[in-house]
Amino acid sequence: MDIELFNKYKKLGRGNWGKDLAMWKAMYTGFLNQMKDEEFTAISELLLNIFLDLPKARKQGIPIIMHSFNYGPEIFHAMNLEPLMQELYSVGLAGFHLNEPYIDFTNKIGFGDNPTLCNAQRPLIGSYMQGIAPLPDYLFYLSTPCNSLAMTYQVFQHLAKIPAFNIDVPYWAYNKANEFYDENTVEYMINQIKDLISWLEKETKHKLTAENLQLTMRNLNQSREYILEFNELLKTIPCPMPSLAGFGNFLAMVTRGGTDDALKATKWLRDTASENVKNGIAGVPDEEIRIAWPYTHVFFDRDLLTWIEETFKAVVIMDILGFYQVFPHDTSTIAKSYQSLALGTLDFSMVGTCRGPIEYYIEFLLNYVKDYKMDCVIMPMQFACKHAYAMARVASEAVREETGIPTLIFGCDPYDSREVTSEAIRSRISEFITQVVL
Amino acid sequence: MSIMEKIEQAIPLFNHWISKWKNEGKKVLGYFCSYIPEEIIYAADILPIRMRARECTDTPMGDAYMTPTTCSYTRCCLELANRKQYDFIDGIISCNCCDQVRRLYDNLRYKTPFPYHYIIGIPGYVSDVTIDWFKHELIKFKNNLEHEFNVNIDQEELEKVIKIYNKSRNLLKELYWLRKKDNPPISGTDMIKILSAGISIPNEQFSELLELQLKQTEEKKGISDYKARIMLIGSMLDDPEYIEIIESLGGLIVTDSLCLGTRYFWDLVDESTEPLQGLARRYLSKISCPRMTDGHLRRVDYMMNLIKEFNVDGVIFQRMKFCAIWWAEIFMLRKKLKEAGIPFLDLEREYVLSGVGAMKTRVQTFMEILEGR
Amino acid sequence: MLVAGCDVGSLTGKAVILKDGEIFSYSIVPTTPKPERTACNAMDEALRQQNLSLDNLEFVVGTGYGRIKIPFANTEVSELTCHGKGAHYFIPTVRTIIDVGGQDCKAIKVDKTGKILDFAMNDKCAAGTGRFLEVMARTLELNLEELGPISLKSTNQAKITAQCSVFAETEVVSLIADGVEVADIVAGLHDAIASRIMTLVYRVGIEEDLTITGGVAKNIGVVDYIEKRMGIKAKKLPIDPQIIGALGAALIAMEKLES
Repeated sequence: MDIELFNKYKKLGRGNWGKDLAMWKAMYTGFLNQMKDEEFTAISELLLNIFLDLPKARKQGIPIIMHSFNYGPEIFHAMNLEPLMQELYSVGLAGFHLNEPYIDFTNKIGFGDNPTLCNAQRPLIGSYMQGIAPLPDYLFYLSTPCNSLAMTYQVFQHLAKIPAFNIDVPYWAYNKANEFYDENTVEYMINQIKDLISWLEKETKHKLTAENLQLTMRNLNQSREYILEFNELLKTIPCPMPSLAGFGNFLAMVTRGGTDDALKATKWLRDTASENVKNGIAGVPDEEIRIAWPYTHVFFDRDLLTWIEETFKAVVIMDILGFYQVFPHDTSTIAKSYQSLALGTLDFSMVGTCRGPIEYYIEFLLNYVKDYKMDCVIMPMQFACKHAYAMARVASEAVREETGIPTLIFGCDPYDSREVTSEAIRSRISEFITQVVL
Repeated sequence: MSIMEKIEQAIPLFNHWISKWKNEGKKVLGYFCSYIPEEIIYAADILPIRMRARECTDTPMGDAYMTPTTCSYTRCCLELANRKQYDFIDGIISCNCCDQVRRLYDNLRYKTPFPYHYIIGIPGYVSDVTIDWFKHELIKFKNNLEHEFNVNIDQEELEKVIKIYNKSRNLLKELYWLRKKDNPPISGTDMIKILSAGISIPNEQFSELLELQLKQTEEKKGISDYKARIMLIGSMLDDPEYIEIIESLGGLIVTDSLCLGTRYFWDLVDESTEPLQGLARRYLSKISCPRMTDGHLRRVDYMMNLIKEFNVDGVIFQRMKFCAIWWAEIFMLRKKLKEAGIPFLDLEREYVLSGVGAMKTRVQTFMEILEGR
Repeated sequence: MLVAGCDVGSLTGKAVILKDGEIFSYSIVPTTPKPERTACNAMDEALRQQNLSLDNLEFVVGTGYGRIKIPFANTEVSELTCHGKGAHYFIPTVRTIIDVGGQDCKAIKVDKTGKILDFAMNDKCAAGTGRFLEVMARTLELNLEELGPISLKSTNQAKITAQCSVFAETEVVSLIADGVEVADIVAGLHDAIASRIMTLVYRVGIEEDLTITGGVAKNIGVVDYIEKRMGIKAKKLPIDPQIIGALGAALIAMEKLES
């Protein structure tokens, strides 16, 4: 990173952000320092701005709405509200192991343990009770894909007495060809989204204008076009991007979907992938193995993927979050915009695959494996993630039956380095790749 | 034979009511959650029974597919399905009430399929939009049943069946009112036996048994040798032995908020509205399970009211190990009880009774705390 | 007035005889596979010390894991209630009691009369119990009594990260192989136990005065780490901390007789 740029960002991070933003500020500093010796990309810029925007919003009196990691914040942006993606906080801390004291504290106060409740949300409760969790003005969450998320947000809502809104994502598909098709699915979503907007307008006094809605949706769907192309480009052999590159797309869409920032970031990723394909550059030089990773990655171990790349010349082509699969929609009318909002919610990362029957996940997995010509599948399943872990075995059997390729399933806690250590994870992966795959 | 003995005969998953029903050439469908409207099934002249698995002691297959670190109720169900102990059941009706039940449905379909299966989507909160959606789900369900079993479920039949179920709900309420007395004439152990019978036999016949039981109970001398009046709160519990342990140590269960208890029967279906509308409204907005995201404050009030009405001395929470929903709910309810100065005991359990020694120590200590107040 | 309390635990059996409210005699015996036999052994030893027989006793209260199997007990009370009473006898200002026994550990909150208000237990796994230390002592080729003094010599405490005692044993073996000082390993183990115990204490809330009962209270290393984590000093009991449960049972026997 350019030293002048570094200093500029360092300066921006100075000053008092507020007591409840103490950890938020610490994360900003942590990420910035990490970027010092790395290339400064559009994703780096996006990430730093996400952190800077929060104290800025506070100063300007803009209402802050905390939301879950599986919902795009386009409506909030269109209404000039400041979204705060909760898991960026709880999970972002994992990379620095800073969430572990709050996991322990949450255990101490008797709010669950691993594997009952997921550590992607529990540090919020622990750090809130110690007065250092970022405090939003409003709370929003989906009931999907898991109970843990819905329950922890409710606990936060009642503990901190924050007004909250919940959308119920239905079980059914909106595609006529799908066996689980229900023709009312999209309408149900649209009705709830309209209720959400009414609630937001009443609570925040901000209005959603037709103009803002259409502009936001246009940006949003343009971003989706870039991502669609990016996803296509990654099918190239060798893969033009290094492991988990798609995560940047997910990050952009879940924090800044509908804005120019997201446009910039998704375009940059698409352009980079495109350039690399043109110039025959591989994300992992001399790529030998292509790995499907249909779950989240191990957040506390920042070097795991690099180790996999270097040790086995293997590339992990996107994870379940990074493999953003909302297709661009036509938003030329207001009605179509609402439809796009509904479909975007239904198909968002981890919602589309996990909200319904196992068939959604298996279809995703089989296409993922086949389209990207994967050599094997690795599933590092979170112990507390019951809905996903209970799919793993049947899904891996389906993959074996249909494609013959092997799957590694192992349990771990992607947020807590003490549960299953880095060494144990690496030894499992090593064993799998050397004995089974090769 | 006493009424209680008759009722105890209904408790095993496959009992003589079911065998008689099947001998008449009729179907039996197993359902997984109290949010599934039994009336729709019964109106098709199909017997709805709640899926239970108490006979299951170890779960190797359940562990392999659902993982060992998940709800033991669902693991036991998968295990028994694998051991062909549900062969008398002609199909399963599930819902997306929680992650575990949702994935159980998937694993059952793939590994131990039934001749028929259907899943209902239950909305996560109550509003006009979601009641409409739930009604739409129920219409779909009704149509699917009609198509699969070649029956016609008409409005008249539904109205008739709703009356039948409301009758047994009212009878259960009357039994519960008797427990408000200083000397309740019925124990929690006997009550759970009655409730377990209710979910395993035809509802009309259950009503008949209830009427007789009610008459008998009204005349019984009340229980006086107990140490404390307890409210039991938690999820799927159908084990009389579990309650017996608490009651044998002096904790008389006088009321509850349980899956099979008050949350199952307290609210009636409005008989004056169109049946599917009435069912959608009643089932979705009844006193809620914590899986509903908007019901917490109402559940708190509900708990506090029952504590007052039934003169409860202490609350015992029982939650299934690994249940995220109940752990979070109990975490919040405990705070409320602490503020209100009401003692409570927080027990963790497996679906099949285990760890009896540890449980007894905790319950006994809790009784000693209550005695000392 | 002669009363007694008998505590049948998983590793030891204890009996305490009170004469007019004062400790007349007490015993600690190793456990046998039959709780009845353990109870009789403990009671016989306590009686023998003062040339008494069972008939001399006016009321006996049983407690502990094997409490329902004590043949000569008039009634039985949970060991948590008994520990509360027993600790209060020596330290009337006690409000928080930590009991670390052979196979479980408990945190007990009492009021100013020693009456129990709240409690938290771990009896599901060995972590945080005497059993854990027994296994580790064996692995380190030390006697249980040596663990305390050795850990105080630690200069660079090792970190034991395994949650489960079975895995912790493996961890200790590799630490030994890596050449880590025994004192540092033992200190790490004591810290791990203290950490488990803290989770329970947090459930009932920390309130002074604090005391520690049970066999593990004799390990000054564990006591030291608990005190460090809680930020307060534990009040030491002037008698063997293992008999507190039986003492409490005897006190309750006296209460029941007087009422």
